[in-house]
Amino acid sequence: MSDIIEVLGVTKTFPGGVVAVDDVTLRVREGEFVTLLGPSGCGKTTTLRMIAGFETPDRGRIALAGADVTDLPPYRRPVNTVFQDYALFPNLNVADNVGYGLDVAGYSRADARRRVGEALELVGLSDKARNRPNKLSGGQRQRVALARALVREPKVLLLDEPLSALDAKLRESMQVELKHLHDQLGLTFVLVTHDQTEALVMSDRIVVMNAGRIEQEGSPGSLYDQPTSPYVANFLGASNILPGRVRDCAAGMVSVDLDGASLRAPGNSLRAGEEILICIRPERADLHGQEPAASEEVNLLECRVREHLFHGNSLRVALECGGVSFFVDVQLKEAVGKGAIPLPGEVAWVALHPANVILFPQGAAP
Amino acid sequence: MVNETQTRGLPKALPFGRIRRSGRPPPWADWTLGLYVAGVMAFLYLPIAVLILFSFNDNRLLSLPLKGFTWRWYEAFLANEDMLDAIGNSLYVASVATLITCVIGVPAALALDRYNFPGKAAFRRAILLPIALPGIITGISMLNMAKMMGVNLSLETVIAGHATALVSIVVTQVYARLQRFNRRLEEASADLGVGPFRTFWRVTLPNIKSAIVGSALLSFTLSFDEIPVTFFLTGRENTLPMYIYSTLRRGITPEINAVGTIIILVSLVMIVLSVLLLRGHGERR
Amino acid sequence: MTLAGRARLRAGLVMAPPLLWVLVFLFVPYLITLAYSFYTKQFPTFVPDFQFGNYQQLIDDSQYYSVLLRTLKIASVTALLALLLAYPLAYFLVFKVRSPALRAVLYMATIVPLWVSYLLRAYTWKTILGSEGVLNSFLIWSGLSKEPSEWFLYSQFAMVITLTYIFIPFMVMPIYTALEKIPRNLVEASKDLGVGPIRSFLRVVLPLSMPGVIAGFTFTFCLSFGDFIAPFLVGGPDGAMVATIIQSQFGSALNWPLGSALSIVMLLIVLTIISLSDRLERSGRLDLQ
Repeated sequence: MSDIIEVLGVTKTFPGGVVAVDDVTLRVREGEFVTLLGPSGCGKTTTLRMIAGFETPDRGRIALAGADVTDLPPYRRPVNTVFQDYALFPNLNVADNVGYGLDVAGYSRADARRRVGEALELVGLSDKARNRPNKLSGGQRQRVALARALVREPKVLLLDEPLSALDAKLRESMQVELKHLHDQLGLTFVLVTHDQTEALVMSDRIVVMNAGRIEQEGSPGSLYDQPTSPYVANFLGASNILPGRVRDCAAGMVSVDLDGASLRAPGNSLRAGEEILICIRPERADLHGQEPAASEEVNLLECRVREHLFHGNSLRVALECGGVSFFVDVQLKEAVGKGAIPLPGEVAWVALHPANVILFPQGAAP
Repeated sequence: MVNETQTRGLPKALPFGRIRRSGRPPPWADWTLGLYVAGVMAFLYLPIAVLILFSFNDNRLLSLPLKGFTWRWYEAFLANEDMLDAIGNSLYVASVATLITCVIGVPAALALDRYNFPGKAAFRRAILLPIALPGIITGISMLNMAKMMGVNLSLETVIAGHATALVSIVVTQVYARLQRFNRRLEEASADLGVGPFRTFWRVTLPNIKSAIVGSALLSFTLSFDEIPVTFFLTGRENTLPMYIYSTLRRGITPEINAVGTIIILVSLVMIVLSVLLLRGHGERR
Repeated sequence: MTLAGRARLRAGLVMAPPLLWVLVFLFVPYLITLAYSFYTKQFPTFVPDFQFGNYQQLIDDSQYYSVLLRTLKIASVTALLALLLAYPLAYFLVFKVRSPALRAVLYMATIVPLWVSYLLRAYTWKTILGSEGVLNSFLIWSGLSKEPSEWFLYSQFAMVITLTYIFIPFMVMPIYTALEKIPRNLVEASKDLGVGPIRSFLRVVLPLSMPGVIAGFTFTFCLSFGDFIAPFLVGGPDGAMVATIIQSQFGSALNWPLGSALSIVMLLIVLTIISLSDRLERSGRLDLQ
């Protein structure tokens, strides 16, 4: 499949010298669901706004469906946007909002009315056609904005934090709905969000941005399992990031010193004595109240339990190992009631498979 | 155990008894304030009441006691050709000046809201200056320009003066509305394939319309009543305030109260309308 | 044309009319007035020149100095009186009137009559304060006084009352706006911390409403400073203000260069006050968010 969006070496500096987007190159394949993920100020929204045409890049080119659109205004680009605050026209009713601009696009009135009807049906709001936007709930406004963006059959749908104004329950169901809509329409979606769950649930590919640059991109699974920097590890899921030092490195295995304790992890080309950061996912470690049988394959850390934090479906256990503090998550399904979880003040053992220990050279500090 | 640690930092018993119920001031304080405010309101309204009252009083002198009800001052003013001419002139001046304030003021507000250009600060200061600037300075400086250019004074020079003095009203009100206006709506319109010109008509204008109409009504009323600028820029023809001003040299008559009453009533309606348009509509969103 | 180029063209088209208007009807007239202030009077008109005689005359002749002082005095007293009347009113509306609808109506009732005809509002004070006017005839009729008092009209007292009455909306509006912006929970927090109503007012409300007070003071001061209608109607012989003198230079005295010089002096004073208050307002403004 061909690339429907090509962002090539794009840089955008705002008045005052803030470099919002710094030499970003991004290609999106037709039909893909790509998410730009990062905290506010990382450049994700500016990138999206440049694709839509609301901002002009200082350098670089943008192409849509093979045609250079860098110098086209937004109203000449084959993309449509769902805005963060929906941007529904308060003076028009739902049907007129959805049908806005169809006359300019050259549709006959009957044709336009039919398309508006179809779009409203798609989002399940046929009965609200005559309502004003201020009479709708947040979720309904969201759907109107979606219908309005889809009615023009864009080549790409851009979504700028579309779910951030909804409450947690609604957000979850809309995530699923958007994903289904994407599968059903086969359209290219580009989503901007700061919510990692949203990105993990919906995307084919996640692009993590940091300070105007792309930090890492890949499928949700690969990003979660193989973050290439503490920044990504921190942003996607919970992580313990601990300082350590390389003892030796041989045959694809590294032995590191974690404040006296020893950990083994896969890794290459690290020098002995080098300062590194160690990333441990809290749910990938096993917690034991008794010392388990020693095994060559598994790292074992003797710790002291500091406190329990109850999360409902899991228990977060804060631990101390030498001078290092970290935490592990225990799924409560099998553990609760067995008395298997050591209490605060008690000694505990953490078993950790080397594959679940990720090492970052210190140069990659966040 | 938890409770103990939480309260340890605070004294055993808070001195609740010693804290005065400070949320409630003594009742006489509110009463004094209310009375004072009533007095201020009386100060604001009594003169207007006096003006209206004496327009119906059957006495050439404006003094108490009242002598009885009459329409004769209204009849006198309706028979006064000069005054009717002056009213016509004032309507002409106010209409054209208001039109100009909108044609100049709305783009000026747009420019201040969304464009950056060299000299923007100076432009903003200059166009807003007449709000705080005594009218006499605007009047004198435009009179000087007319003199230098050899332009004869007329109702048209008055119009230019009024438009210059009053454009700041349209600019401030429309600018305030634009600041509250969600720029995303314009982006949404462009995103949906509609160009900038139509976007302005379909999205921007409907959202700032009430601010434009409100400030236009206000600037019409003020232009209709304007005197410091008019004083220096008018030629042989008089506007209504100038006519009243010149008759005041000769002495005061209840006829002025009659025309004043009508002006005040008409202005009241227009001002209430404009204030409603400027405040209420934008907040409904 | 590029995207940026087209946007620039559009911006240019939007900005051209107001920029042109400001240039032609504000900057040019001020410059001409500045130029005229250096011209020489030559009865009945004047000739181009570049000399400081007009300004010299303003300095040498003590009459101008005393008029300037009187004008400053009257404008200050007016602004002060307007503040004393407007602040409690605005405070009452914002903090004591509970219902928002009633507050809106009362605010409107305060503001609306004050936009009404400037000349007529000055005029009613003439009819009220005159020797045969409403106030005197009321005092005699009710037996409170035997003789009509000449003291009411044609005095600085009459001017201050009239100017205050005319320009008080410019005081009420900014103060009301400033008070309205103060978050209620700040006042509640102050009272919650055991601080009484008067000290809460002095330490929380008053400082936070200062930008409004400064703006209102500036407006009222500048506008009364340049007024010539009130002196004409209720001022009398000792009531001449700077604007009265300017007016007479362009009228009966036929000395446009001197009038222009005086206008420039007035413009400079007003601009100084505006920029001073701007600076004061900015330094005093606290971020409420």
